[in-house]
Amino acid sequence: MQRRKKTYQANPAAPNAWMQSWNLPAALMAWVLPGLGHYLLGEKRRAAIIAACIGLLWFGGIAIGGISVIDRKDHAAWFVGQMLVGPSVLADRYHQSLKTRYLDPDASRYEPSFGRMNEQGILYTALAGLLNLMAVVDVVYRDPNHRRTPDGPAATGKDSTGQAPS
Amino acid sequence: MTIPPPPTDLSTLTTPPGTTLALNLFYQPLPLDSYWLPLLLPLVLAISVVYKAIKLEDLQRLPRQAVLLSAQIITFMILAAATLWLITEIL
Repeated sequence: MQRRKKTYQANPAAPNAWMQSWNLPAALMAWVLPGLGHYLLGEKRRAAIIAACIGLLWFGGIAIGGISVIDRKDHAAWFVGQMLVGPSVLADRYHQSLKTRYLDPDASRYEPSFGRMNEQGILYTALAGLLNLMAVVDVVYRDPNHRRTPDGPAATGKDSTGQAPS
Repeated sequence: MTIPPPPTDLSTLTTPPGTTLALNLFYQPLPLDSYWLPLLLPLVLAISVVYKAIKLEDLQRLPRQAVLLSAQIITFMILAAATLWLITEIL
């Protein structure tokens, strides 16, 4: 006896039609500035926490290892993680310009980092990028009109599809 | 003429004398080579806070959940380090 394969068919009139709309503009803003995506969806407190933590990680990494931790040419693999925070692209462009000016050390404050501080700085900024990726994915699928209460959907008298139980 | 010994603390060579830390912040690395291991702690805490901030619907539970997750991560990192150390010692 053959099993009937269940197929999902999108129904625009379904109560969960919001699942079919992805918040792509907000997700793009979340990449440009960590936390901005959640702010645009109305999640202000969550946005503030995400912005503060990812921002501190990113700035902390650059402070620890210097701007040389963001280097698309020397650390291409790590840069893939770092560039998940939008400002890393600008930081890399600025760093590349500093590298050419470093030929005259007396004229430049820039000094590349090595060893542990370089490792820590790269780790901080790359993890900031990966955490921002998680935030961006959350923004894509988050429904700004759906608020679950702390006690769950049952507290509102409705089930998970938003309808009152029969 | 005696030759001076080579510097043992290379972190002193990163900041030229007479310059302030604030001027060189973000341009040069911080002289924290001896403190690299404790720098992992704020990293773990930030990861826990961001993860829980995304996953939890009720942010009132965030502080406790984040601290709990941080403790779990640090505990397992220590266990993993101890296990690897034991393996290297045995082998």
